[in-house]
Amino acid sequence: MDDSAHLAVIRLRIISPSNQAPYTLEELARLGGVSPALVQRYLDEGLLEAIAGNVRTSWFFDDSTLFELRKIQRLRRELGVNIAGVGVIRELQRQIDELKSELDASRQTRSR
Amino acid sequence: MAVKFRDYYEVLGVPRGASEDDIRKAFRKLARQYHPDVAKDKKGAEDKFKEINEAYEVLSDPEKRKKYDQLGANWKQGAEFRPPPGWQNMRGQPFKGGQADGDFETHFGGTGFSDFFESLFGGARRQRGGFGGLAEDEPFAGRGRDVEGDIMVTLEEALRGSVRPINVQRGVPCEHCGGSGMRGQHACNVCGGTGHVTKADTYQVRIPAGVTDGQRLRIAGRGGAGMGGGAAGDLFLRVRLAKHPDFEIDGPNLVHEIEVAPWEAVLGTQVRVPTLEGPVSIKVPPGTQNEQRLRVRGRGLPQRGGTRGDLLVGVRVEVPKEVNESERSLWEQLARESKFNPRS
Repeated sequence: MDDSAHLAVIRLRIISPSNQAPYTLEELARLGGVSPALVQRYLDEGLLEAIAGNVRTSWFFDDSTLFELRKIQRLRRELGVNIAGVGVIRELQRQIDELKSELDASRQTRSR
Repeated sequence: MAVKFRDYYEVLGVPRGASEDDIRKAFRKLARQYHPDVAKDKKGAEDKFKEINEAYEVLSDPEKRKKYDQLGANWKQGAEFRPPPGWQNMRGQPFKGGQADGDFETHFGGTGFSDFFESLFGGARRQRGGFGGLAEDEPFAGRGRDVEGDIMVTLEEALRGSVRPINVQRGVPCEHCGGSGMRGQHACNVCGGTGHVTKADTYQVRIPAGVTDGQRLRIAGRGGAGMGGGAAGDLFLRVRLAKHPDFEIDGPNLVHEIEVAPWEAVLGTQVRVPTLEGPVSIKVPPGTQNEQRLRVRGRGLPQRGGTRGDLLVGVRVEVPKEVNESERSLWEQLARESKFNPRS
Protein backbone atom coordinates (compact mmCIF):
# COMPACT_ATOMS: atom_id res chain seq x y z
CA MET A 1 0.00 0.00 0.00
CA ASP A 2 1.20 3.48 -0.74
CA ASP A 3 1.75 5.21 2.57
CA SER A 4 2.07 8.62 1.03
CA ALA A 5 -1.65 8.57 0.20
CA HIS A 6 -2.37 8.92 3.92
CA LEU A 7 -0.01 11.75 4.67
CA ALA A 8 -1.62 15.15 4.77
CA VAL A 9 0.40 17.67 2.88
CA ILE A 10 0.42 21.04 4.59
CA ARG A 11 1.64 23.88 2.51
CA LEU A 12 2.97 26.69 4.64
CA ARG A 13 2.63 30.19 3.37
CA ILE A 14 5.87 31.78 2.37
CA ILE A 15 6.16 35.26 3.75
CA SER A 16 8.78 37.71 2.66
CA PRO A 17 10.46 40.35 4.77
CA SER A 18 9.67 43.93 3.91
CA ASN A 19 11.69 44.94 0.91
CA GLN A 20 11.14 48.67 1.17
CA ALA A 21 14.49 49.27 2.86
CA PRO A 22 16.65 51.29 2.55
CA TYR A 23 14.56 54.14 3.90
CA THR A 24 15.05 57.87 3.77
CA LEU A 25 14.92 59.81 7.02
CA GLU A 26 11.28 60.75 6.35
CA GLU A 27 10.26 57.16 5.61
CA LEU A 28 12.03 55.95 8.74
CA ALA A 29 10.22 58.56 10.82
CA ARG A 30 6.85 57.54 9.38
CA LEU A 31 7.44 53.82 10.05
CA GLY A 32 8.62 54.62 13.57
CA GLY A 33 5.59 56.81 14.28
CA VAL A 34 7.68 59.88 15.10
CA SER A 35 8.48 63.19 13.46
CA PRO A 36 11.53 63.56 11.19
CA ALA A 37 12.81 66.19 13.64
CA LEU A 38 12.85 63.60 16.43
CA VAL A 39 14.77 61.12 14.24
CA GLN A 40 17.21 63.93 13.50
CA ARG A 41 17.63 64.52 17.22
CA TYR A 42 18.32 60.83 17.88
CA LEU A 43 20.93 60.91 15.10
CA ASP A 44 22.54 64.01 16.64
CA GLU A 45 22.62 62.27 20.02
CA GLY A 46 24.21 59.17 18.50
CA LEU A 47 21.28 56.89 19.34
CA LEU A 48 20.72 56.05 15.67
CA GLU A 49 23.14 55.75 12.79
CA ALA A 50 22.62 55.97 9.05
CA ILE A 51 23.82 52.96 7.07
CA ALA A 52 24.94 55.15 4.18
CA GLY A 53 25.35 58.77 3.20
CA ASN A 54 27.18 61.59 4.91
CA VAL A 55 24.78 64.49 4.44
CA ARG A 56 21.18 64.58 5.60
CA THR A 57 19.69 64.36 2.10
CA SER A 58 21.65 61.23 1.27
CA TRP A 59 21.16 59.36 4.55
CA PHE A 60 19.72 55.89 4.34
CA PHE A 61 18.44 53.52 6.99
CA ASP A 62 17.47 49.87 7.14
CA ASP A 63 15.18 47.70 9.26
CA SER A 64 17.80 47.42 11.99
CA THR A 65 17.60 51.20 12.40
CA LEU A 66 13.81 51.02 12.45
CA PHE A 67 13.97 48.32 15.12
CA GLU A 68 16.29 50.52 17.18
CA LEU A 69 14.01 53.54 16.74
CA ARG A 70 10.99 51.59 18.00
CA LYS A 71 13.02 50.31 20.97
CA ILE A 72 14.00 53.87 21.85
CA GLN A 73 10.39 55.01 21.62
CA ARG A 74 9.23 52.17 23.84
CA LEU A 75 11.76 52.97 26.54
CA ARG A 76 10.80 56.63 26.45
CA ARG A 77 7.06 56.16 26.29
CA GLU A 78 6.63 53.23 28.60
CA LEU A 79 9.30 53.89 31.19
CA GLY A 80 9.66 57.65 30.93
CA VAL A 81 13.41 57.32 30.25
CA ASN A 82 15.06 60.49 28.93
CA ILE A 83 17.32 60.57 25.87
CA ALA A 84 20.59 60.25 27.81
CA GLY A 85 19.12 57.35 29.78
CA VAL A 86 18.00 55.58 26.59
CA GLY A 87 21.58 55.74 25.29
CA VAL A 88 22.92 54.10 28.44
CA ILE A 89 20.21 51.42 28.53
CA ARG A 90 20.64 50.43 24.88
CA GLU A 91 24.40 50.23 25.33
CA LEU A 92 23.99 47.99 28.38
CA GLN A 93 21.44 45.84 26.56
CA ARG A 94 23.86 45.41 23.66
CA GLN A 95 26.60 44.39 26.08
CA ILE A 96 24.28 41.87 27.73
CA ASP A 97 23.40 40.45 24.30
CA GLU A 98 27.08 40.08 23.46
CA LEU A 99 27.85 38.43 26.78
CA LYS A 100 24.91 36.06 26.31
CA SER A 101 26.07 34.93 22.89
CA GLU A 102 29.63 34.53 24.16
CA LEU A 103 28.29 32.45 27.03
CA ASP A 104 26.22 30.34 24.63
CA ALA A 105 29.23 29.81 22.40
CA SER A 106 31.47 28.74 25.26
CA ARG A 107 28.76 26.42 26.61
CA GLN A 108 28.49 24.79 23.18
CA THR A 109 32.25 24.32 22.98
CA ARG A 110 32.36 22.80 26.45
CA SER A 111 29.51 20.35 25.81
CA ARG A 112 31.25 19.06 22.69
CA MET B 1 -21.64 42.63 32.54
CA ALA B 2 -19.65 41.26 35.43
CA VAL B 3 -15.93 41.75 35.24
CA LYS B 4 -13.10 40.76 37.55
CA PHE B 5 -12.31 43.26 40.25
CA ARG B 6 -8.76 44.55 40.21
CA ASP B 7 -7.14 45.66 43.42
CA TYR B 8 -4.86 48.37 42.09
CA TYR B 9 -3.27 48.96 45.49
CA GLU B 10 -2.33 45.31 45.69
CA VAL B 11 -0.94 45.39 42.16
CA LEU B 12 1.42 48.23 43.07
CA GLY B 13 2.04 46.84 46.55
CA VAL B 14 1.08 50.04 48.38
CA PRO B 15 -1.39 50.62 51.25
CA ARG B 16 -4.71 52.30 50.46
CA GLY B 17 -3.57 55.50 52.11
CA ALA B 18 -0.34 55.73 50.11
CA SER B 19 0.78 59.20 49.03
CA GLU B 20 1.12 60.19 45.38
CA ASP B 21 4.88 60.02 45.78
CA ASP B 22 4.76 56.49 47.19
CA ILE B 23 2.52 55.40 44.34
CA ARG B 24 4.84 56.89 41.74
CA LYS B 25 7.86 55.25 43.40
CA ALA B 26 6.19 51.86 43.55
CA PHE B 27 5.10 52.15 39.93
CA ARG B 28 8.52 53.22 38.65
CA LYS B 29 10.19 50.36 40.47
CA LEU B 30 7.79 47.71 39.19
CA ALA B 31 7.74 49.14 35.67
CA ARG B 32 11.52 48.88 35.49
CA GLN B 33 11.39 45.34 36.79
CA TYR B 34 8.68 44.10 34.45
CA HIS B 35 9.31 46.10 31.30
CA PRO B 36 9.32 43.54 28.46
CA ASP B 37 12.60 44.93 27.13
CA VAL B 38 14.29 44.30 30.44
CA ALA B 39 12.62 41.31 32.11
CA LYS B 40 13.90 37.78 31.61
CA ASP B 41 10.50 36.11 31.26
CA LYS B 42 9.23 38.32 28.46
CA LYS B 43 5.77 36.84 28.07
CA GLY B 44 4.85 36.82 31.75
CA ALA B 45 6.40 40.24 32.21
CA GLU B 46 4.26 41.78 29.48
CA ASP B 47 0.99 40.86 31.21
CA LYS B 48 2.32 42.03 34.54
CA PHE B 49 3.55 45.26 32.97
CA LYS B 50 0.08 45.96 31.57
CA GLU B 51 -1.46 45.39 34.97
CA ILE B 52 1.01 47.75 36.66
CA ASN B 53 0.35 50.45 34.07
CA GLU B 54 -3.39 50.15 34.49
CA ALA B 55 -3.08 50.43 38.27
CA TYR B 56 -0.88 53.49 37.94
CA GLU B 57 -3.22 55.03 35.38
CA VAL B 58 -5.94 55.01 38.01
CA LEU B 59 -4.04 55.66 41.22
CA SER B 60 -1.85 58.45 39.84
CA ASP B 61 -4.87 60.47 38.79
CA PRO B 62 -6.59 62.08 41.82
CA GLU B 63 -10.04 62.03 40.17
CA LYS B 64 -9.85 58.43 39.04
CA ARG B 65 -8.39 57.38 42.36
CA LYS B 66 -11.22 59.07 44.23
CA LYS B 67 -13.74 57.32 42.02
CA TYR B 68 -12.00 54.01 42.52
CA ASP B 69 -11.80 54.47 46.30
CA GLN B 70 -15.56 55.00 46.42
CA LEU B 71 -15.96 51.33 45.56
CA GLY B 72 -14.79 50.59 49.09
CA ALA B 73 -12.08 48.45 50.54
CA ASN B 74 -13.93 45.16 50.68
CA TRP B 75 -13.34 44.01 47.16
CA LYS B 76 -10.88 41.23 46.61
CA GLN B 77 -8.60 40.95 43.61
CA GLY B 78 -10.30 38.75 41.00
CA ALA B 79 -13.82 38.91 42.54
CA GLU B 80 -16.75 39.27 40.14
CA PHE B 81 -17.56 42.92 39.91
CA ARG B 82 -20.48 44.94 38.56
CA PRO B 83 -20.41 48.71 38.57
CA PRO B 84 -22.82 49.87 41.32
CA PRO B 85 -26.14 51.41 40.23
CA GLY B 86 -25.89 55.07 39.40
CA TRP B 87 -22.21 54.72 38.69
CA GLN B 88 -21.36 57.14 35.97
CA ASN B 89 -18.26 56.32 34.12
CA MET B 90 -15.82 59.01 33.29
CA ARG B 91 -15.99 58.62 29.57
CA GLY B 92 -14.74 61.61 27.68
CA GLN B 93 -13.43 63.58 30.63
CA PRO B 94 -10.23 65.43 29.98
CA PHE B 95 -7.07 64.09 31.54
CA LYS B 96 -3.83 65.78 32.29
CA GLY B 97 -1.18 65.71 29.63
CA GLY B 98 2.57 65.47 29.97
CA GLN B 99 4.46 66.48 33.07
CA ALA B 100 5.55 70.06 33.44
CA ASP B 101 9.18 69.32 32.62
CA GLY B 102 8.20 68.32 29.13
CA ASP B 103 9.18 64.69 29.62
CA PHE B 104 6.86 61.93 28.54
CA GLU B 105 4.10 61.02 30.86
CA THR B 106 4.47 57.32 31.17
CA HIS B 107 1.89 55.71 29.02
CA PHE B 108 1.72 52.24 27.73
CA GLY B 109 0.65 52.75 24.15
CA GLY B 110 -0.86 49.81 22.33
CA THR B 111 -1.92 47.91 25.42
CA GLY B 112 -5.33 46.67 26.27
CA PHE B 113 -6.72 47.83 29.56
CA SER B 114 -8.79 45.32 31.46
CA ASP B 115 -12.57 45.18 31.19
CA PHE B 116 -12.67 46.22 34.81
CA PHE B 117 -10.88 49.42 33.86
CA GLU B 118 -13.10 49.92 30.84
CA SER B 119 -16.27 49.48 32.88
CA LEU B 120 -15.17 52.25 35.24
CA PHE B 121 -13.19 54.61 33.09
CA GLY B 122 -13.99 53.46 29.57
CA GLY B 123 -12.72 55.74 26.83
CA ALA B 124 -10.89 57.97 29.26
CA ARG B 125 -7.25 57.35 28.54
CA ARG B 126 -4.46 59.64 29.43
CA GLN B 127 -3.51 61.97 26.64
CA ARG B 128 -0.09 61.47 25.23
CA GLY B 129 2.36 63.94 26.68
CA GLY B 130 4.14 66.44 24.50
CA PHE B 131 7.87 66.16 24.24
CA GLY B 132 10.06 69.21 23.72
CA GLY B 133 7.82 70.48 20.95
CA LEU B 134 8.39 67.33 18.91
CA ALA B 135 4.97 65.84 18.52
CA GLU B 136 4.49 62.18 17.91
CA ASP B 137 2.10 61.02 15.28
CA GLU B 138 -1.08 59.62 16.73
CA PRO B 139 -1.63 56.56 14.52
CA PHE B 140 0.80 54.72 16.76
CA ALA B 141 -1.57 54.72 19.70
CA GLY B 142 -3.12 51.26 19.87
CA ARG B 143 -0.54 49.74 17.59
CA GLY B 144 0.40 46.16 18.50
CA ARG B 145 3.77 45.34 19.98
CA ASP B 146 6.66 44.34 17.80
CA VAL B 147 7.70 40.74 18.25
CA GLU B 148 11.39 39.79 18.20
CA GLY B 149 12.99 36.52 17.37
CA ASP B 150 16.22 34.98 16.16
CA ILE B 151 16.57 33.03 12.97
CA MET B 152 19.49 30.67 12.38
CA VAL B 153 20.88 30.90 8.89
CA THR B 154 23.66 28.75 7.47
CA LEU B 155 26.47 30.46 5.59
CA GLU B 156 25.29 28.86 2.35
CA GLU B 157 21.79 30.27 2.92
CA ALA B 158 23.22 33.71 3.68
CA LEU B 159 24.99 33.59 0.36
CA ARG B 160 22.23 32.25 -1.84
CA GLY B 161 19.07 33.01 0.10
CA SER B 162 16.57 30.34 1.15
CA VAL B 163 13.18 29.66 2.66
CA ARG B 164 12.99 28.66 6.32
CA PRO B 165 10.10 27.60 8.52
CA ILE B 166 9.81 29.54 11.77
CA ASN B 167 7.56 29.32 14.79
CA VAL B 168 6.28 32.54 16.26
CA GLN B 169 4.32 32.87 19.48
CA ARG B 170 2.31 36.01 19.89
CA GLY B 171 -0.64 37.30 21.86
CA VAL B 172 -3.89 37.62 19.92
CA PRO B 173 -7.42 38.45 21.09
CA CYS B 174 -9.28 35.33 22.25
CA GLU B 175 -11.72 34.32 19.51
CA HIS B 176 -13.89 32.39 21.94
CA CYS B 177 -14.98 35.45 23.90
CA GLY B 178 -14.17 38.10 21.31
CA GLY B 179 -11.34 39.40 23.48
CA SER B 180 -13.61 40.43 26.37
CA GLY B 181 -12.47 37.67 28.72
CA MET B 182 -16.11 36.92 29.65
CA ARG B 183 -18.66 34.41 28.40
CA GLY B 184 -22.02 35.43 29.78
CA GLN B 185 -21.62 35.62 33.55
CA HIS B 186 -18.38 33.71 33.72
CA ALA B 187 -14.78 34.14 32.85
CA CYS B 188 -14.01 32.68 29.43
CA ASN B 189 -12.60 29.20 29.91
CA VAL B 190 -10.44 29.37 26.81
CA CYS B 191 -8.36 32.42 27.75
CA GLY B 192 -8.98 32.22 31.51
CA GLY B 193 -10.56 35.68 31.53
CA THR B 194 -7.55 37.52 30.20
CA GLY B 195 -9.15 38.23 26.82
CA HIS B 196 -6.13 37.10 24.87
CA VAL B 197 -4.41 33.85 24.04
CA THR B 198 -0.95 32.92 22.87
CA LYS B 199 -1.04 31.72 19.32
CA ALA B 200 1.76 29.78 17.69
CA ASP B 201 2.08 30.44 14.00
CA THR B 202 4.34 28.58 11.63
CA TYR B 203 5.46 30.45 8.57
CA GLN B 204 7.98 29.95 5.87
CA VAL B 205 10.17 33.00 5.73
CA ARG B 206 12.08 33.95 2.66
CA ILE B 207 15.67 34.75 3.61
CA PRO B 208 17.05 37.15 1.04
CA ALA B 209 20.50 36.46 -0.36
CA GLY B 210 23.21 38.53 1.25
CA VAL B 211 21.93 38.71 4.84
CA THR B 212 24.56 39.54 7.44
CA ASP B 213 24.97 38.40 11.05
CA GLY B 214 22.86 40.54 13.38
CA GLN B 215 20.80 42.04 10.56
CA ARG B 216 17.08 42.45 11.29
CA LEU B 217 14.48 41.25 8.85
CA ARG B 218 11.14 42.97 9.29
CA ILE B 219 7.95 41.18 8.45
CA ALA B 220 5.21 43.78 8.52
CA GLY B 221 2.02 43.06 10.46
CA ARG B 222 3.12 39.74 11.99
CA GLY B 223 3.69 41.09 15.50
CA GLY B 224 1.20 41.45 18.35
CA ALA B 225 -2.40 42.37 17.56
CA GLY B 226 -3.32 46.06 17.82
CA MET B 227 -5.89 47.43 20.24
CA GLY B 228 -8.99 49.37 19.36
CA GLY B 229 -8.48 49.14 15.62
CA GLY B 230 -4.75 49.83 15.85
CA ALA B 231 -2.46 48.19 13.36
CA ALA B 232 -0.66 44.97 14.28
CA GLY B 233 3.00 45.21 15.27
CA ASP B 234 5.79 43.89 13.11
CA LEU B 235 7.88 40.77 13.45
CA PHE B 236 11.61 41.45 13.62
CA LEU B 237 13.86 38.48 13.02
CA ARG B 238 17.51 38.82 13.90
CA VAL B 239 19.78 36.86 11.61
CA ARG B 240 22.22 34.57 13.42
CA LEU B 241 24.78 32.88 11.25
CA ALA B 242 25.18 29.24 12.20
CA LYS B 243 28.58 27.72 12.88
CA HIS B 244 30.12 26.08 9.85
CA PRO B 245 32.40 23.02 10.05
CA ASP B 246 34.90 24.44 7.53
CA PHE B 247 34.91 28.17 8.26
CA GLU B 248 35.23 30.62 11.10
CA ILE B 249 33.66 34.03 10.64
CA ASP B 250 35.86 37.10 10.95
CA GLY B 251 33.77 40.16 10.10
CA PRO B 252 33.08 40.03 6.36
CA ASN B 253 35.71 37.34 5.87
CA LEU B 254 35.70 33.59 6.26
CA VAL B 255 38.72 31.87 7.75
CA HIS B 256 39.80 28.33 6.86
CA GLU B 257 42.89 26.62 8.23
CA ILE B 258 45.17 24.30 6.30
CA GLU B 259 48.23 22.34 7.37
CA VAL B 260 51.30 22.14 5.16
CA ALA B 261 54.57 20.22 5.41
CA PRO B 262 57.77 22.22 6.02
CA TRP B 263 59.02 21.56 2.48
CA GLU B 264 55.67 22.67 1.05
CA ALA B 265 56.00 25.93 2.96
CA VAL B 266 59.55 26.39 1.64
CA LEU B 267 59.04 25.27 -1.94
CA GLY B 268 55.42 26.29 -2.45
CA THR B 269 52.55 24.04 -3.49
CA GLN B 270 48.96 23.85 -4.72
CA VAL B 271 46.23 23.04 -2.15
CA ARG B 272 42.52 22.47 -2.53
CA VAL B 273 40.45 24.50 -0.07
CA PRO B 274 36.69 24.52 0.43
CA THR B 275 34.64 27.64 -0.36
CA LEU B 276 30.90 28.16 -0.02
CA GLU B 277 30.66 27.48 -3.75
CA GLY B 278 32.70 24.29 -3.69
CA PRO B 279 36.45 23.58 -3.50
CA VAL B 280 39.02 25.65 -5.33
CA SER B 281 42.74 25.14 -5.82
CA ILE B 282 45.02 27.80 -4.38
CA LYS B 283 48.73 28.39 -4.65
CA VAL B 284 50.79 28.39 -1.45
CA PRO B 285 53.74 30.56 -2.54
CA PRO B 286 57.36 29.54 -1.79
CA GLY B 287 58.58 30.81 1.58
CA THR B 288 55.16 30.84 3.24
CA GLN B 289 55.47 31.38 7.00
CA ASN B 290 53.65 29.55 9.77
CA GLU B 291 50.33 31.31 10.60
CA GLN B 292 50.52 33.37 7.43
CA ARG B 293 47.12 34.07 5.90
CA LEU B 294 46.50 33.70 2.19
CA ARG B 295 43.67 35.72 0.73
CA VAL B 296 41.17 34.38 -1.78
CA ARG B 297 39.37 37.52 -2.91
CA GLY B 298 35.59 37.67 -3.04
CA ARG B 299 34.95 34.24 -1.48
CA GLY B 300 33.88 35.56 1.93
CA LEU B 301 30.47 36.65 3.21
CA PRO B 302 28.14 38.86 1.22
CA GLN B 303 28.12 42.48 2.36
CA ARG B 304 25.69 45.31 2.22
CA GLY B 305 25.84 46.90 -1.20
CA GLY B 306 26.51 43.65 -3.05
CA THR B 307 30.22 43.26 -2.33
CA ARG B 308 31.75 40.21 -0.69
CA GLY B 309 34.43 39.62 1.89
CA ASP B 310 37.42 37.37 1.32
CA LEU B 311 38.32 33.83 2.23
CA LEU B 312 41.41 33.90 4.44
CA VAL B 313 43.37 30.66 4.39
CA GLY B 314 45.45 30.32 7.54
CA VAL B 315 48.57 28.22 6.95
CA ARG B 316 49.97 26.06 9.72
CA VAL B 317 53.30 24.37 9.14
CA GLU B 318 53.20 20.89 10.66
CA VAL B 319 56.42 19.16 11.57
CA PRO B 320 56.62 15.33 11.30
CA LYS B 321 56.77 13.77 14.76
CA GLU B 322 58.69 10.73 13.61
CA VAL B 323 61.13 10.27 10.73
CA ASN B 324 62.69 7.15 9.25
CA GLU B 325 66.39 6.63 8.63
CA SER B 326 66.59 8.11 5.14
CA GLU B 327 64.42 11.10 6.09
CA ARG B 328 66.65 11.76 9.07
CA SER B 329 69.79 11.77 6.91
CA LEU B 330 68.11 14.24 4.52
CA TRP B 331 67.24 16.57 7.42
CA GLU B 332 70.79 16.23 8.71
CA GLN B 333 72.19 17.11 5.30
CA LEU B 334 69.87 20.16 5.24
CA ALA B 335 71.03 21.15 8.72
CA ARG B 336 74.66 21.02 7.63
CA GLU B 337 74.22 22.93 4.41
CA SER B 338 71.52 25.49 5.21
CA LYS B 339 72.54 29.08 5.96
CA PHE B 340 69.15 29.72 7.54
CA ASN B 341 69.30 30.82 11.18
CA PRO B 342 65.94 31.87 12.67
CA ARG B 343 67.72 33.43 15.71
CA SER B 344 70.11 35.64 13.82
